[in-house]
Order: sequence, then C-alpha cells, then structure tokens
Amino acid sequence: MLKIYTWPKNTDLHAISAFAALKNQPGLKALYRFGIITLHAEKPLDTQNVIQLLTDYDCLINPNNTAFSLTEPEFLEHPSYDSYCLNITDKTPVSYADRVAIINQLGVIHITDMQHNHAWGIHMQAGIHESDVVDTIVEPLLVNTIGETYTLTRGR
Amino acid sequence: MLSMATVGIILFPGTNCERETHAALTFAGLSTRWLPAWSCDLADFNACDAYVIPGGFSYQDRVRAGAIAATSRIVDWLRAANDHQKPILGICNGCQILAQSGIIPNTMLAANQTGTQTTGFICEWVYVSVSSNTVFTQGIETVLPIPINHGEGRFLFKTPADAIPVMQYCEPDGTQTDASNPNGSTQNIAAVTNAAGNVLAMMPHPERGYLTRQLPHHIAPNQGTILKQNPQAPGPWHVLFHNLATQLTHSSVTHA
Repeated sequence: MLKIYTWPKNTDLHAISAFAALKNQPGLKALYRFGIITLHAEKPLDTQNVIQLLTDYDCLINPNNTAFSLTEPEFLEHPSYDSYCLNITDKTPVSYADRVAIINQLGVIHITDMQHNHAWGIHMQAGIHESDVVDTIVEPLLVNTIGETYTLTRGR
Repeated sequence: MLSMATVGIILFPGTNCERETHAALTFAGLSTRWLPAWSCDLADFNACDAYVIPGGFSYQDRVRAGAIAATSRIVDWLRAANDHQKPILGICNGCQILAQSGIIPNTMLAANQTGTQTTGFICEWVYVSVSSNTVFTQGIETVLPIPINHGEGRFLFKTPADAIPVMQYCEPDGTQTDASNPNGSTQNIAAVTNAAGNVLAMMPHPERGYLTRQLPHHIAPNQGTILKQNPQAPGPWHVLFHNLATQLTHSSVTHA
C-alpha cells in the first residue's frame, strides 16, 4: 500500500472559502485541503515508478496544476499551532476498477486497487480542545456526516 | 393574472438560473424582487411573500455544493421565514443549499453515483412522478418530463423517516426502476419537502419547462401544432408556479 498526497499548485479556493465561512470560530488559524490516493499492490511499489506515473501521465493527477508528495505534506505541521489531519471517506463505496485498468495498461506500475479520499489540514491555536474542533470546524462545514465518515488525527 | 404577490429570488455569487426563474414566476402572475445575498437588507427580504433559490453554482460549489451559501446571513433570514411557514422553493443548487442549511433537515445531496460507479455531471430530460403534498404541487398527481442538470443530486437521508418525497424519478409510465434513477438517489427521490409542506427542494429544473416551447421534440412531438395555436402555451411545469400564485393570493385574502 502506498499513499500519494495531492494538492493544487495554485491558490485553493475551497480552502479560502471554508476559512472565510469559519472566520468567527475561535482558534482557527489555517485550513488546507488535499487529496489522498491510496494504491494497493501485490508487491511493494517502486517509488520512482510511481513518481514517473504522476509526472508523465495524467491518469491520477494533472501534473500541470497539482502538486504531490509520497510523504505527509509539510503544511500539516506548524511549530506554534496544534495541527490536525481530517481524513474524509464517502459512506457509499466507489469503484476505481476502470482507473486501475488504465494505470496497469500503461505498464509503469501494477496495482490491484485504489481509493481516493479528500482531507483537510487544520491549524488551531494551541490549547483548543479536540471536541471543540469537531463541534465548530469539522461537523458544521468540512464533513457532512449523513454521507461521509471521517477520522481526525492530531499532528506532531 | 391571479396575484401580484412578491417572490424574492435569492442570488449568490455563481447563481445562473435567475432569469428563467423570474420569467416563470412573472408568467404565473407573480411579482419578483432580486435578493442578492451580498447586499440585500432585512427589510427587503421580509417584504417578500415567498422565496426561490434558483439553480447555479453558488461559490463555485466550494467545499461541497451549497455548503458555503448555507453559512450566509440571508440563509439565517430564510430559516426565520421558514419558521413562519412562508413558501420556499429551492431548485437544483437551491435544493442543495436548503439541505445544507438544515431547512430541509437530515438530508444531503451527494455526488451522482449509481451502484459503485460515479456518473459525473448529468444533463438530460427525465420523468418524475409528482405528489401533491406541498403548496407548490397541490393537484399535480401525475408523471411529468423535466430536465436535470447536476453533478451532486443523489439524495441521502440520516434515517429513512427523514425522507418526505415530492417527486421521484420514474419511467414515462410512472414505474420506478433503477434505470430511471439517473443519479442513484435514495428511493429514486428527485424532490423533497419538510413536515409542514411549505418548502420544496427539487433537483430538476421546473423553470425550464413552464412553456411548451421549452420542451425538446422527443418529449413533445406535437409541439408544433400547439405552438401554432399559441406560441406562449404553458408547459407542464407552469402549474407549479401557478399554484404558488394561487396560494399567495389565498393567503393575502385570508389575512386581509
């Protein structure tokens, strides 16, 4: 299993609008929106081949406007603020079989399955309780719990 | 002309169906007032007898469709109007905003998906069976053609009891099938109401079917004959706006 973190190279208007909508919530310092693509394979994937797939083809991301990392993006951490990673999953499962078939046809890597989740990086003023983050930031706007589930993990 | 009651048409940055909505309302004898979310004041808002949120892409569908608009001041005012049971119609993006805001409670419009396959944005004519359980649909117990135009129109509910269907996708003969459900909605639902029946949140576009001439030939093969007699012949969805006009006239007479 290998995770690819993706985010827009240009200004993320989703994050700007979400931050503006939540501007009255105490302690919120910054929001970042990104994607997590999880690749499953029978054998460990060669990271150089994955990077080639991401930079030479547009079947996973558009490399012209999307940045990527194979490790957690640096913006998830902040020296002064408490940071959280909000990972969102649709309750209704989505099949990516067609996409998997296209990737395997390219012959750069061979995968058995993949998932694509949306996620948010949240920076909070130090000392805000995690339950307040859920009550004021996460459930009012970033997640709709009728159709989505989420995990909220505290950063370093 | 039944009424000159005033319907407020609520505008957000990205609303793009306001002109057709205005045309459908005025054709039904209603007066309209633009209510831009960024500039209208409470007095202007409260002067309206009913409200419509037209279709479009408010705030570019950022975060998810309708999510940012639902946090705006004008939606707080709309909640208060709903408390007074004023008629409220949300079309397409307006429907998404009503769900996001909780005016239609415990409801979500998720990305179109049939089974495990995402379908992407859908733009086509479909058929819906209509129930007469709202002020807008009284007397309409029939199957009607209507266009849909959305990427996030799959109704989901917190519990099955939260779903109060007004329109359900179906075959032209009224049979509800998986094939006639274009976006994978729960129970084929295309439109819902609240418990009081004063709110109608619908994903299809009635303002694109209020005149016969708006219908495509494959839906109305005898269109030419009808239009020859009357170029302004009402279409199948005029009755929805006409019902609103009738309701508002009745209300003003009742309260006079």
